[in-house]
Amino acid sequence: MLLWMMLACSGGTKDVALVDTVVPEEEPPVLPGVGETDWGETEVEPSVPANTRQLKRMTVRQARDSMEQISGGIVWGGGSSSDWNDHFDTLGVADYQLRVESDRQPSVMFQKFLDDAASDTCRRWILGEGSAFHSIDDPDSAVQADIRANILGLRWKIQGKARTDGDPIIDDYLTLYTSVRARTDSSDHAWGSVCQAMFTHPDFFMY
Amino acid sequence: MKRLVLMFMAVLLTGASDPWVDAASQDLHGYARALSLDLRGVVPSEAELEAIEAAGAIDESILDDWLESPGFEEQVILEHREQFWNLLDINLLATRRLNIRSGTYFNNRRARYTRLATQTHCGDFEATVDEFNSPVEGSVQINEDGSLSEGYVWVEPFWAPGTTVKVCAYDAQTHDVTDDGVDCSTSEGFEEQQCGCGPNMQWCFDNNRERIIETALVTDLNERVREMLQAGGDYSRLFDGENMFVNGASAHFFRHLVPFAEANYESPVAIEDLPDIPFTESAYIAAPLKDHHDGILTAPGWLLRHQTNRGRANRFYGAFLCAEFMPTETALEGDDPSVLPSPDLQRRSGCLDCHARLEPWAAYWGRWREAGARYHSDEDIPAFSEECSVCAVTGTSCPDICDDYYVTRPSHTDELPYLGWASVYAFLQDDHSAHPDLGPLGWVDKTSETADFGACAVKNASGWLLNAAASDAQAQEWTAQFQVDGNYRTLVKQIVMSGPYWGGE
Repeated sequence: MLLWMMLACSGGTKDVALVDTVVPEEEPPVLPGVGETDWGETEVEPSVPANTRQLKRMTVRQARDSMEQISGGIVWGGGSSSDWNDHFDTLGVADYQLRVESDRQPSVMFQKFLDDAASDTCRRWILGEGSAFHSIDDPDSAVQADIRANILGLRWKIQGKARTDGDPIIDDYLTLYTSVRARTDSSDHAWGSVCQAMFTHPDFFMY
Repeated sequence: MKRLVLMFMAVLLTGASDPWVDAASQDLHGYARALSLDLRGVVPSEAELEAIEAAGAIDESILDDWLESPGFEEQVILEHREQFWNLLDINLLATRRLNIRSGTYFNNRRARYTRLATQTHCGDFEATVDEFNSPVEGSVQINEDGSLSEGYVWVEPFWAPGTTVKVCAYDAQTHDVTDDGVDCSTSEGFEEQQCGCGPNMQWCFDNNRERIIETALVTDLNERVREMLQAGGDYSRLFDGENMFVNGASAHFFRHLVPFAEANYESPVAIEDLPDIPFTESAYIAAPLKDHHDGILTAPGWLLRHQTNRGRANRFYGAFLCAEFMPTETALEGDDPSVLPSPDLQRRSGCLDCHARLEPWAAYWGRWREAGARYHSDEDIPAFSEECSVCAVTGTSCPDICDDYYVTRPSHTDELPYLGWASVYAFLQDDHSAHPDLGPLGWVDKTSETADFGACAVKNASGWLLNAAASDAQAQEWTAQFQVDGNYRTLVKQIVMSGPYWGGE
């Protein structure tokens, strides 16, 4: 390859002739045909219709009210009316005039606004006076056991999961916490990232 | 303490165990969360979660508390808004609408009678008026085009007591009757220069007040769902409930504005039974309906949202019978263009697939004004009118009521047998001709005799809670129970306690 590049950059046409050329075959090889049945058959989705409860995305109202309850009453945007209310149309909430059925897809649009709401809520929840955000005595503790305990407590509050360790996602939250804290040197920023990650995870908004 | 019987059979039968595939296989925490979100619209509180963890199960008493909570009422209301398509954004009463220009309210619809030309500005000067806000003689400015500008006065409007707004003097007049004896509080006064918006502008409203009134009419439907639950959950109460719910805005509308459009509206509550509350009163108060009302299906919010009788029947068919009108593939093939099509849609090819059923069902609303919310009794509109029949047959001029409500000017031979009959009775076959007088409750009663009505209630509720269709066997079981007790709360409880909702882990 190196030789080829040197030759190519030399600018001389006569040198090209020194390179071995590939003579195409007269006739291309005949490839074996592949019929549809040759792929075999596989069942991608279960064919039996589900008759049991299927996961669904929270409605916008449920996400709004749950975030407020979990955070002790923090209203997204800080006004008297939640910013969620301003985005009902954008998020496909039925108005019963132009749209008679609410969109319950976990769409990119929903996740974008959920992320915005989580960012605002988590920041003010952590900094709020008398906030019940932390489950440990020292929020700045760098002791891994404390951080882990706080993650378990936060997950219980936000996602309603049992406060038992062992789920691999706890390690992911721990990694997130330590990496943000290392970069920002701020436990508030680190906890804010964990909080936001928990609110924007399907464990929060799918049930 | 009685605990929920947790069913493991569903998991065993389906073999599903991944909560992301089958949410019914979630653990207790997942069950509590789903239950709380579905029934109350919010996740469990920390205290509730701790109590559930300590108990290791969800006590039936907790479930009952949640089913009795205001949060549950809100969830059921939201579910039913999806059925009702409950929203109003219409032009309620154009003749009483106030516009605002340069900060001054005026009624442009009446300007041709007050200022002798529409769009005439009443002027940026304070009017000289008498005790009725009528401009005194010589105080009105005559413009070049012959129109009048009388100036404005300050009025305390009914929607904001304690404040004043500028209103063109002619529109701010408070006469009950004119010097000629015309009643200014009804549509009779529309063309009278001496008539205005009455005391505190009570006979007029602007766009913002219109939205508030419409919201009140919409909320009436929501409150009827709440009342059904608070009264125990008997689902039939939605259709034969004896109350509507009014607040200050809707009470004001029925008392002061409806008289200006009596062809379209009526107060569903006798005026003497309307609560005497200010427009600004936001609480909803139960008021007894007149006898001819059939619950939500004749509520102003329903009638004005679904403005035609066909539309009303279609929504009931979709929402409460879970069905829709679907023509067969060949149904819409064209008729012979040389033949005048019959106005009887039950017989017209291309239409009959749907309309053979829709027309008789729409007739259940036959005594209700379309594009309005007024009931026409048999005294108002007899099924057959001799007077209308005579003018129709002889071709002489008919009174307005005949032209408006009766078959008088046939356009097709199929209409000839119905000359002189009220239009809603035309083409109705056999016992269908009783439908207008039975009212929509007649349809509800008929469907309640079959499993269709109950099966749809089950389908709607299980679809909401399971986010999936129940199995046929399960749906039949729930339907059979609902047929017996007709209780919506019990139905919801059955579903959320069932294996398909949570198989248990």
